[in-house]
Amino acid sequence: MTRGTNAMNDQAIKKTDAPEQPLAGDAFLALLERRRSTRMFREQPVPPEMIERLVRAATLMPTSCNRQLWHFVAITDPAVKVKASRLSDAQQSYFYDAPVLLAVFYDTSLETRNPCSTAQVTVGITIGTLLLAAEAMGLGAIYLGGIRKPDGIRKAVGAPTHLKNFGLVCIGYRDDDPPAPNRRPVEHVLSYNRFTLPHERYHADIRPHLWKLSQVADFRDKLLWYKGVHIDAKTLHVDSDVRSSPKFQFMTGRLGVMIGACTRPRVLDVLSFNGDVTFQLLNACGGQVEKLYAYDLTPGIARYIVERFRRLGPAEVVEPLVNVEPETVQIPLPDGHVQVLSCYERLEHFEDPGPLLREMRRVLAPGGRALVVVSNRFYPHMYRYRRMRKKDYALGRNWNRGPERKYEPGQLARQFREAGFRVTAVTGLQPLHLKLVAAAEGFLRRLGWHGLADRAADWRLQRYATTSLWRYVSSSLAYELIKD
Amino acid sequence: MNSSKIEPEILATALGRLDAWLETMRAAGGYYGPAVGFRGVSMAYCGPGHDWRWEGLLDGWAERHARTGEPLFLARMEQALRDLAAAQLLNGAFRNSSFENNPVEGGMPHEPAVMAAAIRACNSLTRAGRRLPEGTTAMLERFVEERLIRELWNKLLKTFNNWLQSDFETYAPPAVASILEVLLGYAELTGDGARLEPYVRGAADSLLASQFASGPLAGGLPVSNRDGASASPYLAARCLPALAWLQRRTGETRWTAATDALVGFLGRSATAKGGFPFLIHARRPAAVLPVFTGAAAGTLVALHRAGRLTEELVAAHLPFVLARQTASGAFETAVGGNRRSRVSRRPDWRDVVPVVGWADKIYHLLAILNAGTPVPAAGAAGAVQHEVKVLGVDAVFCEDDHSMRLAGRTRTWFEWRKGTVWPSACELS
Repeated sequence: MTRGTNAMNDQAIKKTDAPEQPLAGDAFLALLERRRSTRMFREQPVPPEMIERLVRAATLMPTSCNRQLWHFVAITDPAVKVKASRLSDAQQSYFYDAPVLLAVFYDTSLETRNPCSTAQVTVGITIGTLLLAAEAMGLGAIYLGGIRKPDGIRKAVGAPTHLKNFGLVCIGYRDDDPPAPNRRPVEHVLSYNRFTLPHERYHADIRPHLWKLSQVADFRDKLLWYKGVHIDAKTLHVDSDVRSSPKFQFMTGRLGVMIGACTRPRVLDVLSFNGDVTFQLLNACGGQVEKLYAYDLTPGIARYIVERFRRLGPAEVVEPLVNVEPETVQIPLPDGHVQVLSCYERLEHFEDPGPLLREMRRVLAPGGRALVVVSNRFYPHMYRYRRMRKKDYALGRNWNRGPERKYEPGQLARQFREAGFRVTAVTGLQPLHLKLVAAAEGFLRRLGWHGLADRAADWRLQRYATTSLWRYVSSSLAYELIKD
Repeated sequence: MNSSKIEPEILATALGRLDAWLETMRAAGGYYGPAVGFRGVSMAYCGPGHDWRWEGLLDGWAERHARTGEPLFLARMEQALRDLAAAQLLNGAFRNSSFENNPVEGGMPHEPAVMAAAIRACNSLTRAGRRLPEGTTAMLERFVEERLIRELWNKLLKTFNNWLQSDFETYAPPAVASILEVLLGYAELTGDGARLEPYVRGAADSLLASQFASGPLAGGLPVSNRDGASASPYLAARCLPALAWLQRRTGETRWTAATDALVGFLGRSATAKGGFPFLIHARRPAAVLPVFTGAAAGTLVALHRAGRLTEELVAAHLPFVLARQTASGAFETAVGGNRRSRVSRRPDWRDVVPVVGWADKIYHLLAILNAGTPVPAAGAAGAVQHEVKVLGVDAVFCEDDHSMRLAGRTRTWFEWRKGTVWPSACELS
């Protein structure tokens, strides 16, 4: 679209003669309140006039020295979408589902030395305005910044190299109704005259495992609805199905052996989240169990599980359970009710997993068995170091799961002992030496010794789980517990 | 097709013994047992799998019924269709259909391969004057409508993704080929061809677009459309029946050319001792090992279904397959599971563990090649004991009618009682 630049400038500098309108502040604030990021779009095209109005709104925003060095490319052609996706490595479903992708470019070359990064700030203001304008026009929109190679967007649309791409705004008619995300209270983010940060807020930022139980619950609840899969055949993010991973396979196998050793046991999955473990067990041995309990913290998660399973098949044996108290772990089952229990990388959410472990022991029948998989602190999880180096404030937080504390094997052994469990086996999953072999494998391939590299790969794949001393430097530890 | 080199009685006996072994693996809900596949093993889950193990069984029974008229095979097909219908989820996928990734639903190309075979079984049953088991039609409809069209159809690429979490740009030609067989078969079964035509056209074009045009892989098809540097002969061969079907349907020469090129690729790939390499690479030597016995049989079956199986090919590969039959009637799964070309007295354990999901392909091949020689009555399968290596340690694999066991002097790696879902011991990943 082209517009008369001079006319626009004239309009901009001319003092308006229109009578002053009362500021519709309440309406504007209501618009801000109801805006949500839209991740599901209807198959309904957006008229070009609406796109032009959106861009017009965005161009009303301030720029440093009024340079207005932005440019927008509305991508509506599926072929260009495919090309842009391929070149940028963007892997979100809304990339494909949104009728319009508005690529936002800005020429940052004139403002490279500005200490406040005004060019980037300008783009941020612009994108925020696009989102609000879309909401005001009855459209849904989401800013897609999780693009590995934004330059691929530039290449796909043929933009010149001096324009930098700042991601995409996906626009279309909304086909979802996401829950309201929680927002920090103003008193936590505002201070007058002198910087102050509430102690509680400070801790929550840098050590999210210190969150209160209700905070953990809220985070997990929202996360599930935003990033969940399998509901209504829609996958929002292309994450590989963890159920095919060796870790999950190991866990399912061990749980299966535990279930196979009982006669129609009752099985409990602790903090079931999206129900992957429960679903896995339901598929593999649904007829062998009397009941499969999926326990988590919020009614929202329970609703997700009901919804997911309802769309997949009859699941009478599955019963979602919701924590009883907002700030106390309390599984709504009588003492000694279940024979097999699983807890897959969930202890990490707690600074002190003691209450959860004691509750797990309470509901386990005497002689009952539990499988607890926990992340190992002694394993060099590289992303943690990268975050430390980059001074990422969300240090230690895994945004795909929630708070994530790493435990040492000794701490875990003590916790299990104090909770009244006896450890019968400890298996290390993905021990450190596999990383070393993988590195050697890559080196061998670079040398062209593919036969040796293939053997190294095979060696590595067969040793994913270990009971040797390597387990203490493995990525995760799988504890098999028994309640005597 | 009759083999000129192998005595018909040998084929018939092999078929009968394999049948007897397969019966030991049958229990409530389907065929049980561990899985050893291209990408790994599933030793922990040994329950009924609804992966491609059904494909060769259904086709084999149909073949044997066509040759003998024996109603037993119709009854087996009916029971299989009932088992499959019971294992289907409401989104059209099937429980435990991922073979070496079991127990996970949505296996590819397993599910469409099984559904294509189920459609062929339906045709056999109908021809024999039998009514389809209850739920069969609904199962096929749900798979086509819910799973394929609603979940896996990629409206931008105009082909089918491999699974729900596929990269959006990625599709797997062997899976697309099986899906094409489902769509074409379903269209014939229901007379609903016009509505399915856009999906057939899109999938067919994507299949053709992924075929290697030149270089050492010319004629082959990759495992994934984004892999431009390697091809698995067996998985590529699985595309042959769909290509041949498209040729028959449209009469277009491009399908003939694609089929010719693929047959040429398979001919160039074969190993001197029989069987086909694991993976052929464009820019480095082929990864020959492990050579899967069932994959060799499956390749011959695919060639047969495309009308391209010759006496020479049978003579080249059948002895390799037959030599792998054990005293139990089962077939050893592979040769060279440890990726070592040097022949060892003790093979890798993955070579000797028999797997229904490979044996079915051999079953189908033997049923095709057995041109009418009476098959000996299926008696009890024999016991087998084999010295193997497990992670470099000496061990012994034992199998009889009731169990499988893999144990060393101090350690039991795997112990499974047939008919149960989970092994009592499993230390293998």
